[in-house]
Amino acid sequence: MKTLRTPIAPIAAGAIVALGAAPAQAAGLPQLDISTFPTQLFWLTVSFGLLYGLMSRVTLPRVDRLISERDATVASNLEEAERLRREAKIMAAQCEQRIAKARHQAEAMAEATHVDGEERIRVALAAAAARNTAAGRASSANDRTAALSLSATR
Amino acid sequence: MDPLHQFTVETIVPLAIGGVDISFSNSALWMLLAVAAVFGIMELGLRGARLVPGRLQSLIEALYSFVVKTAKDNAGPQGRPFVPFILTLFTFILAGNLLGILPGSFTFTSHLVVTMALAMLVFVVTTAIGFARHGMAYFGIFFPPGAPKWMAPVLIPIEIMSFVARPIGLAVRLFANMMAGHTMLKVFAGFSVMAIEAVGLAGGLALAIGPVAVNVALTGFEALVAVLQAYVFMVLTCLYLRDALEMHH
Repeated sequence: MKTLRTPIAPIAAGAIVALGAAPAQAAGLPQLDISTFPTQLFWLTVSFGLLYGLMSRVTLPRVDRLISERDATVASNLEEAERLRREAKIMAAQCEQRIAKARHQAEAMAEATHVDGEERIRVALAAAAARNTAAGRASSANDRTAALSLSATR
Repeated sequence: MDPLHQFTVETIVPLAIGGVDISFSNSALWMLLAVAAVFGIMELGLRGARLVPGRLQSLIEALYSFVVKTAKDNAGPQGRPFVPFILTLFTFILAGNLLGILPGSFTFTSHLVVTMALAMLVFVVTTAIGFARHGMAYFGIFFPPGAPKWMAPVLIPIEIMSFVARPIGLAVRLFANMMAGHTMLKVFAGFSVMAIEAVGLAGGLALAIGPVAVNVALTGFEALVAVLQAYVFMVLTCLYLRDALEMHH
């Protein structure tokens, strides 16, 4: 067994020896006065017993409960946070999926609109061209008849 | 001016049961004050205890956790049920040591009867636990495992002696530390008074500053010793408890 020493012990021993050698007013060390032993032991038993009773029955169970309650709360909060995190992750994944789907749809729609628009433009252009050609043909026919009739009158 | 006068047990209320003097003395008063201080501070800190602790509540929880950890580290995992006992020992001795620094107070831990009684309590409790747990096999602690058999005649007496010396060491260490420190305080305080008596008030006050300064430092040192010795008592108790719980570890 290791002995724990504080530097005061040897000084103290010296002091006690010196003081013991000095003319003592009282009869020796108060610590050696056997007549005080019963009262000291009695009150030590009372006070130590009282403190032990109070600590083991009243105070420490409360401290213990307090600490374990806190640990439980922290643990359940952590669990809850973990659960929420997982939920949020799932929700984020779902959102991602829906965005992707929506983008797909939008692309398809744009494509369809594009094709459709081109088709209509082509049709419209063709129609316009046809109309123009017909009109041109008609007007050039008119011109020709007009010219012919003009030359005929000359 | 007697530096040892502070250790005198003085009767406050005379009491006797069956011819045995159990008078209420200054020693008894300060023991009860120590109990009141420990219990009072604990209850004050736990009043309206909350999940997120306040300052005093944190202190009390820290003290409790500290004792639980010390018990676990030194007495082993089986030491957990003895935490109330260990904490009572620690706080009682700590309060006694610290209150003893107050001028005019009485340090009940500076009496060998008191420290010896506490040490014997530890000795009896740990030995009883040892025999309760291991029965007659507990005598095995007197022979270290793995030592050659022929060493037994040498080892066993040594082990028995060191076992019996445990309570004596425990008691004397605390008693000597407390008594020495408090005697030193009073000796230096006495120097101040002597200086004034010898040189007169004016010169004496100037001279007295030296011992007062020493006393300031000594008081701080005493506070350290008070905490340290209470801690040492607790740790050694835990170690003896571990011997009883686990025998050879």
